[in-house]
Amino acid sequence: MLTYISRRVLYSIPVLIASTFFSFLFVSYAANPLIAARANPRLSPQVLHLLVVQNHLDKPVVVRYFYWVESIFTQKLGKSLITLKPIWPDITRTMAHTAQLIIISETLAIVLGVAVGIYSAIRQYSFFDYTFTSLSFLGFAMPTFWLALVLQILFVDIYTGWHVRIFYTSGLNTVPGGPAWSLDRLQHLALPVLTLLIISFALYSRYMRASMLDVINSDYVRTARAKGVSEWKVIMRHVFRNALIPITTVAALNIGGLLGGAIVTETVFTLDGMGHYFVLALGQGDTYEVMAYLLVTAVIIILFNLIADIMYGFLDPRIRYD
Amino acid sequence: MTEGSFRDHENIVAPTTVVEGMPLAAEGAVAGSGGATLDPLVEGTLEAGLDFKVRSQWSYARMRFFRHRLAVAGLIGLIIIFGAGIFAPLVAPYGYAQIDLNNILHSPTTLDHHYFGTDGIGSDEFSRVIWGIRTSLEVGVFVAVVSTIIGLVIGAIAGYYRGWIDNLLMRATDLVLTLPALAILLAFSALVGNGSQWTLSIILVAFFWTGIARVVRGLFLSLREKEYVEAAKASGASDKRLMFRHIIPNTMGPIVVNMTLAVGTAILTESALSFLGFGIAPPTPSLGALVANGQSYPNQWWLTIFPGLVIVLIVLCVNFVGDGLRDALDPQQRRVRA
Repeated sequence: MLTYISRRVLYSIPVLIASTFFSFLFVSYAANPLIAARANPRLSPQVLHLLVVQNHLDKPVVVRYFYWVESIFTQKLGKSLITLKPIWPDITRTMAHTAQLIIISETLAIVLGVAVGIYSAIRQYSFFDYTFTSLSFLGFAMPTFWLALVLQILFVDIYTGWHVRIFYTSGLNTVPGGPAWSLDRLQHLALPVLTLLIISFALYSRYMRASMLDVINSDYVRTARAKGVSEWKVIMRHVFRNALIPITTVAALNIGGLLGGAIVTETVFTLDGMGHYFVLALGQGDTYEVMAYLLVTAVIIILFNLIADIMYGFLDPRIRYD
Repeated sequence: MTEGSFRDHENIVAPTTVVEGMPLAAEGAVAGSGGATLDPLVEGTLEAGLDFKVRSQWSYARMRFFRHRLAVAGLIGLIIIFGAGIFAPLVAPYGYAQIDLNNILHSPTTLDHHYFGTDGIGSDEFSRVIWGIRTSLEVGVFVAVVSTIIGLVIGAIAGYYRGWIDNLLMRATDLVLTLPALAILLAFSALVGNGSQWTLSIILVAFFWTGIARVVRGLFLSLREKEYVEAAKASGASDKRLMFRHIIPNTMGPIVVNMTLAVGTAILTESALSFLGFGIAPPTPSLGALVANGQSYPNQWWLTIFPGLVIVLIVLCVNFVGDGLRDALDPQQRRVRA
């Protein structure tokens, strides 16, 4: 087990290097920060020259990649090329917001999805099952950005129509920089959370249902029933616990999709998270900010893939690592 | 196929033709093709004067598909929506960018055919949605077909020959999987995107084929170990024959299903990119860009709801059809759904 984990971690390192290298190439060619800098009337040619030299913009892209790698370790991801702000505080702040959003919505989605999945499987082909099957089909077909906008329009209309403030439709706090855990923050987070929740819920309820049905039809469940174990105990002890195993993997591997959903959701609700930060940086052509986002997400995704693999082996003793 | 037309039997590869009621026996007899001798069972049936029907795998699939209610509903939905897109010049009452400043932000009405209302410069939203469907259809079908062809070729080579190309494919997809798909596509579009639908389609193809290649590779890996492939190999079939006659026909089911679902995914992705401003840019019509335009008018709900609803309907129908195809093309499932 330990050798397996260390081998996986070691394998992640070249993957991380290669993926950041290729994204660096793409992003450097995609975005020329000097265009924005030249357009800025407050920057004199001397300052501009300094900017080029300091950030090695006159060097080939491959060389710049190594300067960038160096800056990760020595200067905490370096500075933005356009606003000249250090990147580290921005990344950590936005990451905390995105984490709050994703953790709340995922927790709710998993709990609700698992519960609905179980009930749908037990009462297969019932009205309940059909209703949630259709809803999850709808969830799969809905563009995240549209769902977010529909919720936004709905609550804007409620506010303008009846002057009742249930949920806020943009931002994170009424006063910028407000506390991270407050009723005000939750009112702001509710709609983004709901957006991601609906999309993820469709996924988890479907997987849980399929996984439950798989286990319900297995031999050991039939044996348990034949022995006279009560139905409740069969479902809870024998089926539910084994059906959860694939869900852990699905949840861990879903992180990439979630971060993608966060890009869209945060943009719609102008929420100060990583995804919003990424879209803004990409629009301005700020190579280092874009790369900081890609690096952080790559690390997160690789980490979650690793967790998925390890958990799978831990939860299912039939899996052996060699 | 007509009744009793067993003559082309000898030219058909084993698993694709099945005589109803005696599926496995017929397959076994044809495998050693060449001689014009009839399957003894078929002959016996003829002698006994019994009526029988030769059904190909495809006719079984068609029967199963058309008994799948949701799939048929999806197909009809797609025909209507895509039909409107294809015949946009006839269906749309107005042009895509036609401006009418006397009629801005009009709510949906049957008056002057503004079924979906008008936007901030008085363009007819219904017409814009119809033109948008046309673009979405072109992007979706192009991306699905081209990435399936590329994925099929590379996946087949990787799965059949293994070796360096397999290694390269798996490592490349490993890299792609380390980043959120949307982030890669956004960065890609920022690099080469110019707002044209064809550039965007090629960007999507560059990303989509890896998924299909992985599926095909997996299918090839398992099929090349099957006994009937081994038997064909033992009887001297060339690599080309093994691939095209024995393996590829058996991968068609999952590939067709994947291709269908890719149409929906491509349309969803295209609309998300266009919405964020990194996809198709005006003047090319796009459903995602229409939703983005609607975002500026939170009090004019119709500008957001209708284009988005059309995306939902398209993807929903595509997924239903894909699901129906999955059930219909599964050769293990001989039973026709009631």
